Amino acid sequence: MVNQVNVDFSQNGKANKLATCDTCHWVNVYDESSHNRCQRCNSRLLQRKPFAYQKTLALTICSIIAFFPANLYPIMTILQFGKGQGDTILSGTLYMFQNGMAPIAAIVFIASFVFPLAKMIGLIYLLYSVRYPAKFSRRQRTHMYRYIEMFGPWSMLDVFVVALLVALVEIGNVLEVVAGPGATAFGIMVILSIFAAASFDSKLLWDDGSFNEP
Amino acid sequence: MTAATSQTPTILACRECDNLMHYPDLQEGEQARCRQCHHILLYRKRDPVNRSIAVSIAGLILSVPAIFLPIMSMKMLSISSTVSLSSAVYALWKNEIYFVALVTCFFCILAPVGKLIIALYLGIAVKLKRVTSRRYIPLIKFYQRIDSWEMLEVFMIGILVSIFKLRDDAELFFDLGLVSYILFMITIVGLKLSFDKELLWNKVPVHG
Repeated sequence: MVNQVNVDFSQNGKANKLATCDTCHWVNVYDESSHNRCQRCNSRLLQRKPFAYQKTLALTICSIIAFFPANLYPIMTILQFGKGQGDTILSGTLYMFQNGMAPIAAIVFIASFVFPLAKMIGLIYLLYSVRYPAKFSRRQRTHMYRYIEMFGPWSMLDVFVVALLVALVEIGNVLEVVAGPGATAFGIMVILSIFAAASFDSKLLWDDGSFNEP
Repeated sequence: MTAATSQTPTILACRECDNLMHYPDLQEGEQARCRQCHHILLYRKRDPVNRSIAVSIAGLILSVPAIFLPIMSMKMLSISSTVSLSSAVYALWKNEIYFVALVTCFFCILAPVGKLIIALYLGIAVKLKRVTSRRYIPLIKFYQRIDSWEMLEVFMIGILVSIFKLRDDAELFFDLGLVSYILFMITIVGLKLSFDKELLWNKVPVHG
């Protein structure tokens, strides 16, 4: 148990040689020289996620790389009488927009193009702001990180649409939907970016400089 | 070996910014925010145990029709075909798109059903006052791990989008599966609003 008397509440946990368990949020005494485990749930204890900066950078770069095949390869092909042209995410959205389905097109465009892109740019910006002075306050950047984590799953939207259409449309030779290589690339991109967001440590944003910023 | 007693924590650290504070004494329905970064640190839900038991029983009953009944069907040139959550995964697997099939199966079937089963089991265990041993730790940990991988709402919007994509090509009909799917999704949201992990952790005895 942590003795409350010895804790300086104007300093953060790391300065007080404490570590919060990532799993159960129990506050433990942290001893740097040994392997620490949480008293309550026996998970490994860490004051900061190890190599959070490097891991997030690596995974973000990987998801940026996967972003290209995901958007350039066709995500699915609608075959009518055996003929049809592959649709990438953007051309599919454009088609829907031109055919008077603007609200749905907007949802798809935002979920599968704007969100992943914003997420990658956001993560790169957060990483940059850890090392170099940034324009936004730390509180704003923490909010930003929270939203990046929250909207991650919505990028899976298009993958699920492909899944449904492939299963639904199997009517002989008249109409058929075939999934393209873009679907796999897209799924990989989304999962990589979720891992990238999860490996970032928002405590890094608060570690530098003066502690009590307004 | 060691004398283990159930203890409520006296000190709390913010997960987002590592700010330290005294553990707040909250009533049900109240929440505490971090003074430094405004993150919601604690949120004590109203009547968490009873509600999460009720919601997870409802969800488990609804999961069967939601997964196996056809969500929608389409008709074209007198041929009709239907799709359900399970048949979508099966069709993807048959089309050799294994990765997408596995991901869909995990996000939309295994993760939500797993969450409901664990929530029901833990809820009953709390009711019977049995969460005093450390046996329950792996279950709570597992629940937390799959919590962020459940994507039913996204799949729901996916259904909507595919309806619009096919609207011009074929006649579409909605089936009972869609109703049970929507209800299933609502129970998962209800579980999110009623299941209190902090309460469970505070019942677990601490070593030393």
